[in-house]
Amino acid sequence: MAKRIADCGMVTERLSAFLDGDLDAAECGRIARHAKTCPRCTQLTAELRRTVGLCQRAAKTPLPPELRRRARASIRRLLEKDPQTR
Amino acid sequence: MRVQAVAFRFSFLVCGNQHDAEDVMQEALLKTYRHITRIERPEAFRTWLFRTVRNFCLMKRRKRVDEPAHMLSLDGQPAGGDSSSDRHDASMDVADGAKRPDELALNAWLGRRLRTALAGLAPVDRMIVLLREMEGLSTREVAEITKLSEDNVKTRLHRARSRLRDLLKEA
Repeated sequence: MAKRIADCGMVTERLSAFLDGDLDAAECGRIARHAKTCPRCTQLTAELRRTVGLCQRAAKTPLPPELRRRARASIRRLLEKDPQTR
Repeated sequence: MRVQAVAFRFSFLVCGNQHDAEDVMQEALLKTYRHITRIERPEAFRTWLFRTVRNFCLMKRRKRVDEPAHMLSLDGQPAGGDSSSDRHDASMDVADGAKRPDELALNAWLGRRLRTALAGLAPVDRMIVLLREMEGLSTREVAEITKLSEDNVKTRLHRARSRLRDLLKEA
C-alpha cells in the first residue's frame, strides 16, 4: 500500500515529463506499470493528456478571417507610416 | 501573414483583449521589421519575436495597472489593478464589450472554456503554456524568452497544466 502511494506521488510529480517524453525508458516503464493498476493515476494521465491536446488543437485553428484582415490592415498602415521600414 | 498571425495570437492570449493585443502586435512587429537584419541565425527569429511580444505585453500591463479599473472579469467580478504576477491577472479579463462581434469571434476561435481557464493561470505560467503547448517551442526556447531556468520552466509547466486541468473542469 505504502509503495502504491509512493508510486502515485512519483506519477503526479513526473507526469508532465512523461507526457513530454523527457524520461528515460526505465522511468517510463515504471509509470506505465503503475498506471495500469491505479485508476486514479490512469485518470490523471488521461486528463492531463486531454488538457495538453486541447491547447495544441486550439493553436492549429486559424484566426477568424475578419481578425486576419484587420491584423493585416493595421500592419500595413503602420508600415506605411514608418519611414524606417519603407 | 504567418508571422502576424503568430504575433497576434500570442499577444491576444497574453494581453487578454483584442485592443491591447493589436497595439502589442503592431509595436512588436514594427520593432522586428526594423531589427530583422540584425538577427543572425534564422532559427533565432521565433525566439526574438516572442521575446519582443512578451516585453511589449508586460509594458502594456504595467500601463494598465495605472489606469482606472474598467474591465469586467470573466466571472463577473470587477477587476482591479493587481500587479502581483502570481495572483489573478486583471489584464487577462475580458473587456467590458465582451458581447462585441470581435470578442465573440475570438471566443469562438479559441473556445470560451479554454480562454476562461487560461485567464485563471498566473501570467508567467500562462505564457509558458502558450509558448510550449500552443506555439510548440522547446523548454530551452521558453526559458530564453521568459528569462527563467529550464528547470523552473519545467516545474511551472507541470504546475500550470495541472491547474489548467482543474480550471477546465470548473469552466
